[in-house]
Amino acid sequence: MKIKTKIFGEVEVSEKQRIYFESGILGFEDLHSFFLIDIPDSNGPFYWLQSEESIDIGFVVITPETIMPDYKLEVEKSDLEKIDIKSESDILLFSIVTLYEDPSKNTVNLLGPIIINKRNLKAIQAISLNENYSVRHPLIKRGEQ
Amino acid sequence: MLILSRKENQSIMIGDNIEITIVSIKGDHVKIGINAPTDVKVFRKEIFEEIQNANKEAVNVDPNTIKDIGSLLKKKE
Repeated sequence: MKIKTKIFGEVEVSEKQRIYFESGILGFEDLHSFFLIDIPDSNGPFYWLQSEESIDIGFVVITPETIMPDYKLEVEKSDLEKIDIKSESDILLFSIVTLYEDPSKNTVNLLGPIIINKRNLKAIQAISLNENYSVRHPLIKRGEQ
Repeated sequence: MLILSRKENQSIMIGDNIEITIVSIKGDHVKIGINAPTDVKVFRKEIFEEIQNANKEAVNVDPNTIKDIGSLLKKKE
């Protein structure tokens, strides 16, 4: 099927890409259904999370390990239970990226990870218990500063 | 908003199983202890707001910025 996206026009997607956020995403609690899609021609680690309910809402996401290879998911057990995570292998982990006109200002949110359960496609934006992780971590691969 | 006066080491119960204790007061710094069931999330309010604000900023992405996204994390040549 085809969906409309904020940035990439109409995109062909499958049901397997539909992610359900029961509690929404912080600041967007009313939006529940998102599609996780490849960013055309990005050849990279970035994906686009497009709201199905509101075409204007979409996020660039990246796996946090791309930015911080030793990133550890430390969240409340209840957050994992909400999306029925039974084992670590169920987890698909993303962080929301904020892009600016000046790329040196780009940031990635390591404190509020998006956790997706691969088995049932339920998702949650959790808050890391490790407050050393920043909401605005520089979007730079380690060692390239 | 309900406002209660408490001294050091005094507590407030919220329902049957959430206990909030004033652990210490030093100048303008108050240490608060919280006993709550594991399914009750306790975070400093600023953290919630920070993440909400970051999310709202993230959706304002300029389509032109995304066009170059493929080159963002490439090593400089």
